[in-house]
Formats: sequence, structure tokens, C-alpha cells
Amino acid sequence: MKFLPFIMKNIFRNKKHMILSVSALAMPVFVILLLLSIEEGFKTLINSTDELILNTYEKGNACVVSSRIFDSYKKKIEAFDGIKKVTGVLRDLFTYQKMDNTVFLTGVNYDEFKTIKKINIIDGSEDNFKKNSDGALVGKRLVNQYGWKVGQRVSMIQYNVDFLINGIFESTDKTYEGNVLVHKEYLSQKRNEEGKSTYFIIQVENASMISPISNQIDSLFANFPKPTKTQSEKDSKENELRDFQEIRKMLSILIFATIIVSIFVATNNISMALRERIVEIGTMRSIGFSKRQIFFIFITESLLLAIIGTIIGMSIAVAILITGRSLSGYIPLVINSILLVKTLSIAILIGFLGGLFPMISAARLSIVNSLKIID
Amino acid sequence: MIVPIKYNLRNLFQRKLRTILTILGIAGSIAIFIAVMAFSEGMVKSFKKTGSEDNIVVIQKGAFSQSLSSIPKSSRNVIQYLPHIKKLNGIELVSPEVSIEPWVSVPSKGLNDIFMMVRGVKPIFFDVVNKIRISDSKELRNNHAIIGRLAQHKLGSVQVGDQIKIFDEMWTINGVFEAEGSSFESLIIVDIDDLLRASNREEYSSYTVKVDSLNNIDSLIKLIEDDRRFLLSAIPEIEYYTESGMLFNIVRTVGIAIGIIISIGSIFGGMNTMYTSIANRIREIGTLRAIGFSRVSILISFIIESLIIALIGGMLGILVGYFVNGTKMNLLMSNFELRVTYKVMLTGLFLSFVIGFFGGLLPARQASKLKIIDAIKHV
Repeated sequence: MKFLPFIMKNIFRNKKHMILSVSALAMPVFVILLLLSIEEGFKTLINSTDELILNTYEKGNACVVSSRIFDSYKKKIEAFDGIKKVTGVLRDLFTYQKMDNTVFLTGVNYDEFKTIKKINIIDGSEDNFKKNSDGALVGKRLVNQYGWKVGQRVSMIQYNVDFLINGIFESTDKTYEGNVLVHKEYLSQKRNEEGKSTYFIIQVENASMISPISNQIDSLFANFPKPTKTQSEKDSKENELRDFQEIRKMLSILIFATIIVSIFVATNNISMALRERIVEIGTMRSIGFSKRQIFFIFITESLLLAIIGTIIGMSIAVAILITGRSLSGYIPLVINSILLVKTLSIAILIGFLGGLFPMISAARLSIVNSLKIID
Repeated sequence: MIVPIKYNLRNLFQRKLRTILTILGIAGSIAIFIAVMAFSEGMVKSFKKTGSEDNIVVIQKGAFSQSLSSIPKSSRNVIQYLPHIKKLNGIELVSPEVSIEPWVSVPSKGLNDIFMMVRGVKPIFFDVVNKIRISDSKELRNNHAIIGRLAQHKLGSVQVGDQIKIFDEMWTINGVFEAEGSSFESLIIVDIDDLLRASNREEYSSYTVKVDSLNNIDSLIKLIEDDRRFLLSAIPEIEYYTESGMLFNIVRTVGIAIGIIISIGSIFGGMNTMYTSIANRIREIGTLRAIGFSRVSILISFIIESLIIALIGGMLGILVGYFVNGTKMNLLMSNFELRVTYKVMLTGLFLSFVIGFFGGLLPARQASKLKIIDAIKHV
């Protein structure tokens, strides 16, 4: 600790170096945190599902919006033992203003839906939504994406769909925060799909019933015009996101590559800083500093630089992420303390590994040799 | 008078470790950049290459895509007899199609629930969509399928004769096709009636129609869209697939942003190297000035030195990045191969030039501004 003032002086001695070393690390740290945040977003979608909920989709159909089953199935499902609630949801994909602005419209029977999925209105009025046949409640992630406001009327490119935003909501299920909730009746009229749902949300009494009830439902409808596939909400979310696996793998490879590059850059920066100070190290050694102390002083300096760079990189990333941004409203960009700690640990690792080799060679230098070096 | 390049080259060898580390740092950034660019290039290319100039896609009015569109079968009689449609041996080139994205299993490989795109077609499809190259049989009836090259990869490299399971029915693979690197290569193609039966559907999804002359495209589109019996949209085929590709724009944008940010980090790294390199050579610079080299020559000399490091790093990075070329990626409707094209490589090289130039500019300016006396006195 007594060396701290000395170390701090050293860091700030050559400001240009400091700024460059710090910025060279801040950039990759920013990228690493951003990539970790995307991966965390995928996990959040899967983990915010409810373990007492089942989803029934059209069997064999992998597309989460084109699946269709009949609303008439609902009564039959409700008759099973162990089922608390069932509600049908009609979902369709739209675009807003241009083709890469995707919007999922989820048509719900709101009174039923609300008893199964927690919807917390953070702006606007739930009552207005209930009164307006073309009203909508918009998930907060989507609101951040497109900057919509309560009271605004929004038109989709497809099917002359336009809705009036009556409220903005949060939900424990993060999937819905990227959706627009509209009345199922409204959407099915616009889409000419009365009497159909994309999927059912089924709440069961306890988790042990998930698998027997799924089997019962699917065998009941096996010979119906639209056979069904029922599984836990978590499994169906995992299935939905499975095709993103390779992208996620690529993200991890990018994170790894970024770390490696940063280690090279850090090693380079530190070895340059040390080279400039070889004579100084010789002087310190000759007035009695031990090799170990010198190693300690310089490794602390290198770690401090890494931490400053990390804090800057993380702050920029947090400033962007905290606004609740997402990838097309679909994948949330999540930021939490665990991610921050993870990023900080990665940065410390970079600082440590980057400093290690130059430092060892500097500490090993004999006093005479280091004092001899001029220039 | 220009400072000889030999001087810079010798300097690089003088400080080997630092030069190597800087080169590796830049190489790493460029390799990352090449990988994300190859990703974006492969993704966009596969969609842009899909379709022919003289084809139009007809879907339900307002539908987001073929698989979310449904059109009654009876519409075929209306479309077929419109003017401006090209004929082959007296038959109109109108291809009705069913597009579904089902879960597909490959029992022989133990693979379950793979997200695939299946298209049900009639034999006329191969005359309308004439990009499909297949050496095996094109026979589809009775649950036979042909699959694109990328679909084959996604299905665990299934071979001709293997069976796959779609909508609880088994389908035998009759052939594997190529389609000039277009997104058709992600498709499983089956007989339209087989697919309608297996999926319990009754309606078509879309038509692909070949126009008799490029001049008539607009009039044919107008005729289809103005028809009151069915509400339809008609879009030139190339435009349709390019727009479908836009769905994944966000993935590209994020990728490219990451590449650029890492490269900026690299500029800082390069700058740091050059500053140190110059700080260690102040007396040398003074000497150079004293023997008659001008400020401008010094400036140019140091920028060249920085460019040499950056370009070597850049080329190394491109070499490393080239390894991702051809890697197959699956992303829902977008299966594609990473492509390290000349464009990608040149962009990488240009970026390393930028890193070298800006990394060297400020330090070189500082070096050129030194006063001879101060520089020579410097210890």
C-alpha cells in the first residue's frame, strides 16, 4: 500500500501513454460487455419463462408465427384434471416503416391472458385498452426500440393494421416485453383468421403434471385436422431460439478473439512503458528495492491502467445498454452486476497477462545492465 | 529529399519484440474485422443472388413472407391466363408454391426438430426458377425430396437415399442441388400436393411467374394487384428476396460495429507504439534533421514506418481471417456461408492502412516538429 502514491505518480507521468493505453483497452472492453450482454439477452428470454406453464403449438410447424390451431380445442383442454387456466394467443409478424423494423403483434383475450402472465402497466391506462377494440399495450422494450408514446396511432406495413397505443407494460416474461398486445378479436379480423390461435398458454397446478398433461393433450388431438405439440414454456422457448445457436457460438469466438488481441496490445503497451524506465528500475534496484517489490509495483500499475480502461469502456457500454436497447426488439440487451463483474475480471486478466512477461524480464534485469542503458 | 525506407525497416528490426507485438495486435483486429465482414457479405449475397430478373413473386396482399401468405388454389386460373406471361412449349410459366417452416428430423442421424424451409412445387417450378442445378433425379412425387447444398449441411450431411421426417411422414431424398449460392440452397423441395396433405393445408402460399419481356414486368404486376377476385401483391423476385434478407440487417449492423470499434482500439495501440518508438529516437531525429532532411521528409518517413507495420499486420490478419471462408452458418430462414471475397479482403487492407496512417500521423507530426538543437541535446 505504501507504494500507491508512487504508482499513481508513474501512471500519470506520461499522460499521452496513459490515455492511449487506457483507450486501447476501453474499446475491447466495450465490445466484450456488449457481446456478453447479447448472450445474456438470449438467456433472459429462456429463463424468464414460467415453470407451471405449457405451450401448445401446431405439430410439426417450426415457425412461431405461422402455427395455427383451432380455438375449439380450448374447451377440451380445460376439461383435463390439473389444469388451472387456458388462453389462446394469435401472433403475427409485421414491419413498421421499413422491412427491417419487425414487430410481433400478439392478439390476446386480455382478461384471461392477464391472469396467467403478469402485466404491469407503467404508463397509460389499462381501462382505455379494454375499451378500445383497436387499442394496444406495448412492451417497454419495443417502446424503446421505436420511440412510441401513449396516445400514438401506429400503422404496420402489412394488412392495414394500425393500433392506438393505450399503455406501456413490463412483464416477468421478457418475451412479451418485445411484443405489442392487441385484442385477439381485432387481429383475427384483420388477418381473416377467426377461431384460430397461434398457440395456447396453459397453466397447470403443479410442475409434476407438465409431462403427463402434454402427452394427454397431444394424443387427444393426434387425429384432428391440426395435431398439436405441447411442451413446457421453457422448452418451446429454447426450441424457438435454437437456430440462433451458431450466432451465439460466433459471439463467444468473437469475445475470445477480442481478449487475445487485447492481451497483445496490453503486453505491447506495458513493455514499451517499461523500456522507457529501465534506467529507473536500475536506480530503484540499486537503492534497495527488491525484485519482488519492483514486480509488485509494476504489476499494480498495469492492473490500475487496465481497471481505468475497463471502467471507461464499461461506462460507455452501460450508458448505451441502460436505455433498454435491444436487437430489433426481439433479443433484449441485458445489463446486470454479474456481467459487470465478469467484464472486470476479464479486464484484470488482460492487464495481468499483458503485464506478466514484460515485467518478469524487467525484474530479472541486472542492476548494472539496466543502469548502463542510455537512450 | 526523402529519408530512405531502409532506415525505417532497420528500425523495425531493431525493436523486434515491440514490432511483432504491434503487428500481432493489428493482425488480430483485422482478422476479427474480416470474420464479421465475411459474415455480413455471405448473408447479404445469399439473398441478393436469389431470383431472376424476369420473375415475379405473387403473395397474399400484405403478407410478410411466402410462409405467412395463403392464397386459394382457385386463383391459379386467374393468374395463368393473364397477358405478358412467358410460355414454354405452350404452357404458361406459372409456378404455384407452398412454403412452410416445419421441424424436420433425420432418424438415421438421431437429429430431431431442425428448423427448415420446405417448399412444395409442381414440375413447372424448375422451368420458372431456372437457377437450380441438379445432377440427380428431380422426381418429387410420392414423398420424395430434393435438398439444397446448405439444407444438406443443416440436416447433418444427409445423402441421396436417406429419409427425413416432416409432419410425421417420411420423405426420401432423391437429390442434392446447387443454386448459384442463392438462398434457394437452404430449401427442401417436395411435391406440392404431398406437402399440402402432410401439413393439413389447402391453400397455396405464393406463385412465381415468369414474364415474357422485361418491359412488361410493371404491367403484369399492375394486372395482378388490381385484380378484385383475389387480394394479391406482386413483387419482382430479386426485390422480394433482398427485402426478406433485411430481416437480419440488425445482425450485420452489430457485427460491423464490433469490427470497427475493435479497429479503433487498434489505432490507439498503433499510436502508442509509434510514440514510444519516436521518443526513443529523438536524438536520431535531430541527427537526421542536422544532416539536411526536412521536417516533411521526417513526417513522411515516420508515417511510412507506421504503415509498414500496419500493412504487414493487415495482411497477416487477412490470412488468418481467410480461414473462416466457407464456414456454413444457420440462422432461421437465412442459411449461408461466410465469404471472404476480394471486397472483404480489400476493405481489411484499407482498414489496416487507416490504422497505420492515423496511428502514425500524430506521433510523426510530433517528431517532425522537434527543434534540431533540443533533439540532439536530448538524453
